[in-house]
Amino acid sequence: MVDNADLQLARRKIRDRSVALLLVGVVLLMPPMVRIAQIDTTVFGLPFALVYLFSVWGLLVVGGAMLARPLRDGEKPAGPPDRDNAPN
Amino acid sequence: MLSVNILLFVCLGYVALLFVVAFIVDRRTRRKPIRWLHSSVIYTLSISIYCTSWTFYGAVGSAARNGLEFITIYLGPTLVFIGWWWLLRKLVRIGRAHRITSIADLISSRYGKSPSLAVLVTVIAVIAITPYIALQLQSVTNSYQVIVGGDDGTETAFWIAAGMALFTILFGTRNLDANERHHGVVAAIALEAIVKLLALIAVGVFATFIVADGLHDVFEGVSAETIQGAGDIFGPRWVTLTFLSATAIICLPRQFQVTVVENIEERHVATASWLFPLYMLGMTIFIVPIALVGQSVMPAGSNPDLYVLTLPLAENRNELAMLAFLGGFSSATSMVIVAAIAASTMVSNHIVMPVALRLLPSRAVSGDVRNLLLTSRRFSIAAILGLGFLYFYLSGGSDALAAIGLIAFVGVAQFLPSLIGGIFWRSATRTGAIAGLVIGFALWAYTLFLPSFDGHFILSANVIDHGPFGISLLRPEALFGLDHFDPLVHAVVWSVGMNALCFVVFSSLSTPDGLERLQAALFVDVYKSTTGSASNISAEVADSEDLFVLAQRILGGNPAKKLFDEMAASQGMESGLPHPTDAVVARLERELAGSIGAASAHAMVTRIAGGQTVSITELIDIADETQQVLETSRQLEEKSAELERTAQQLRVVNDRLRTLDAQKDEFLSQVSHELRTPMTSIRSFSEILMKDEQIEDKDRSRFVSIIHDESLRLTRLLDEILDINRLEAGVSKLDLIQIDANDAVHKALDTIAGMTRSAGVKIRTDLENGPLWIQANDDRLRQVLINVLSNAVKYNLAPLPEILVRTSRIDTFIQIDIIDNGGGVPPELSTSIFDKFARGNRTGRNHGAGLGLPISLAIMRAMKGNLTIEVTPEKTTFFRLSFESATT
Amino acid sequence: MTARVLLAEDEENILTSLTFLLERAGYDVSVETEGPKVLRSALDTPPDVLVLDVMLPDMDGYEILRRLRASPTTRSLPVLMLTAKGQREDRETALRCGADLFITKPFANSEIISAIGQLAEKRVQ
Repeated sequence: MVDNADLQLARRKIRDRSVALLLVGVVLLMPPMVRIAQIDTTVFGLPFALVYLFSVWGLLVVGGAMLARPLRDGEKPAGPPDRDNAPN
Repeated sequence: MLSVNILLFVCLGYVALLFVVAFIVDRRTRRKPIRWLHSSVIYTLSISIYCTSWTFYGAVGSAARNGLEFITIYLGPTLVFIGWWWLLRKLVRIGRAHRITSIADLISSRYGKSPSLAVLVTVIAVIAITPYIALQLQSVTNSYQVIVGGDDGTETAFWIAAGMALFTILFGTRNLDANERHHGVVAAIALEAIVKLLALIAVGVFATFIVADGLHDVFEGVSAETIQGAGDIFGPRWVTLTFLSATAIICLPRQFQVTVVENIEERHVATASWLFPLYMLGMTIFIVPIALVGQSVMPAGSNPDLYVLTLPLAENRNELAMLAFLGGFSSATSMVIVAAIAASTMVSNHIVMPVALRLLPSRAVSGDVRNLLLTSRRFSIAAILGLGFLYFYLSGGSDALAAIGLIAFVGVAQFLPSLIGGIFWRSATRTGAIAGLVIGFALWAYTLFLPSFDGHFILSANVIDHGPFGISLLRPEALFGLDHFDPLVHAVVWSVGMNALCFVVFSSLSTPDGLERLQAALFVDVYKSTTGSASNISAEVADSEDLFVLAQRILGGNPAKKLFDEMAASQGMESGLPHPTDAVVARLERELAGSIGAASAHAMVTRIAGGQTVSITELIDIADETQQVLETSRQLEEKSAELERTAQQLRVVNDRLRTLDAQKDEFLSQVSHELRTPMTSIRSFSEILMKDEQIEDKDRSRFVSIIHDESLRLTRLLDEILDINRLEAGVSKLDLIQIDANDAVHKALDTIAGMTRSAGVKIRTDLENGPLWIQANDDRLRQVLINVLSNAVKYNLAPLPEILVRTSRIDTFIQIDIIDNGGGVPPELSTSIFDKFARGNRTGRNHGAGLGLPISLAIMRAMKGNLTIEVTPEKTTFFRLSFESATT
Repeated sequence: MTARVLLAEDEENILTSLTFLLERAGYDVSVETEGPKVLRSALDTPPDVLVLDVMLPDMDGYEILRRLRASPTTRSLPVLMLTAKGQREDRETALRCGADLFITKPFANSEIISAIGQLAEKRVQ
């Protein structure tokens, strides 16, 4: 209850970053942006399209993990997850 | 070639292992939950049933045919999980708050607990997942045949279906959990998730580094077309497939089951948000290499869907082939088991139970309906697998795996508008949901599902090619002339598009009833309220007894009794049934919803309660007041916790007071005794003096002096009693000044010099150098010293009595020890000696009332020091005055 | 023959006054101040009347009385108990332990003399 405001702010930040990451994913993986992958070249002998798609994918995983970590640590001691004030 | 026997043996062994895992976990969980089994990792692994045999075998086939397109099937879910905060979190929260048992339950709950909607969603779900189950049967059958040979897959498929049904029945319907959670099954599918991941990676490593010579070799001379497939890979189909897979990860009944229903803790979703995409990345990383190596190594015309298996076989790596087979087997079984559980839950909760309850006499106690419920689930599971087998049989099992899976995806995508609209849009109505679902389902069936039979089922080949009655505008795969689309994109655009459109249009045209509006508020604003309480039964008409009968029938005798006892107790009743208040009815409805779904629970409770509903205005009031009520009740909780704390403190204080009171009684009794003793002498002698005239003068003057002495003793006693009371009550504050302890000792010894001389006691001193500064009251310290010293004189019975007074400084403490050679205080008295009126060694026949030491102790404490009894190395006891050293 | 009274009391001044009074009344008075000694004296040479204070060093009056009542020679020894507490429980305990009479301090001289006389008379009969 004491750091309610802090908690709320932290939550809002996580939500914003999560949405931002989602947007980055959608933009990079959907046309027209995804056509970057059609550049006819190879990276270390691998087709660029393959490297591009898997790199974006990996990037999303790493980003997601970084976003989830503070949340998980933050919520653990707090007992039941936010019942109070999540933004909507 | 692997022999049939070995294959069967390994398979049965593997299934037995799954059995054991599920069994042990189920048993253990019931007694004491196993912590790591409730971890976010297990949760994530259970979500990986998304990767079915379609991924295990079909993705390679898809990569071989269409290049990288297969990856869209995993990009959609990745995006959904990465954006979990926005959608998944809300779904999980709603699922937990409203005890949702399935996706049908969620949708029907949201739209006013509508039974018709529940039935509609259930029917669509069953029809949509049937091809999907058939696909699993087909892939296991194919892989089996690849290993052991043989042509007739039908029989194999039948036994596989039967075996899966058996396993699912055994573990999915063993008990009726209020939350529809299956810990044993989840553990088993988590194990399968690991097996299939390891198997696919093993085959990938084998293909890349053993069959081929590393990644360079694999991609040597591979054209961009091979990688990107023919045509425009990043066109509408790419977007559609990503959208479909993103939809499927939410709307597939089995995914809803593992993600929402089986969720144990909300924060597990946070971990799954990146761990599940990572798992899929691991599953797919070797798909392209396997496809490419397979194409270059395997003979032309071999089925690319089975490269994962045929590649190791062609290289005579039987163990690896075995592992690959188990991987595919795992993918298929875990999917089928969960899908069957999810579907059977829906069928029994939303179709069988309502019908059964209608047929059963509503007031008759027919034991309980648990058995009915379990039986209906078992039959549902068998029926669903039967349907899957039938589809396999009818469709001839020849289609490419990916195509079948996509049919199911588009089918369940019909839930998306109602689902998303339901939890984000308050104005969405039941009418809109039904309209959208019906139109979407019809279009899906017409444009995608029925054509998939290639004219063998309902739609003839002629209709598919030229439209019904030859109307080409109505051709299923080019509706109204939209023929420049891929059939899949075409079906999605029509079915999901029209579905969403109808949903929105009909929602805005219709007016929701009261319960719908209430549920809408509870779902859309789920973060604002944690427990959904949406009962609108008017309490007066609900009859406790009937509700109890209902609960017995659904929950079973004992749990129902426990629930009602609990509710009665919460109303402060010792026995009997609780009053049917709103809270009781709502709670009952929630509990029942856990077993049979919200719509059925609501329908039954309403029926028993007389079907009266409160007015819409009242309901809206309730919805708006929910917030206030929650807030108020939270404040009340805090208040009552505070009151409880205060009461606890009062109890403690009261206990202390009681003890103090008993001590005071004891003290008064002692005081009375001590006062009566001198008074006895005074009275007795004064009577003698009054009545007896013949007393000799010598006796007379002796008696008078006794009376005088005893009067003094009385006075002293009273003074002491007052003194100790004031000291202990802290009334008399002592003025503390800085004095030298050695100095105080000298003054005290001077004062009692006369007494020691007359008693013949020798005094020795052993004083620490320098002034020993302490904070004390000079007079009071002298009083304590004199008291202790005179005790040492009085009680010392040694032939050559001697007293040693010693001062010392230890760390920050100053100590004054008074040690006599009279044997000291017996150790057993060393604590009670400070009690009031206790007398040390009474054989010493001394008359001082026992208040000297208690007063000394009280004085010392008032000066922040202490008076204790210590023991010398020679085991004699002595008194020690200790002080905190005062800084100079 | 003069009756012998054993005074068991540890308060010096009370002993002085009682001794004076009883000797004046013609009794043969002996004195003990400690519990165990009282018991031994009473068992060895039972007096005609025992005046027993409750609060005695090392062994209290109740205990002495219980032990005296357990011995055949002193089972019917007349005992007058004295106590400075004077609450009802003390009286009850005294009578339960077998005291014949019970007097609370401070007492009137006439009261205790007549009580002792009463007990001495009973003994003679």
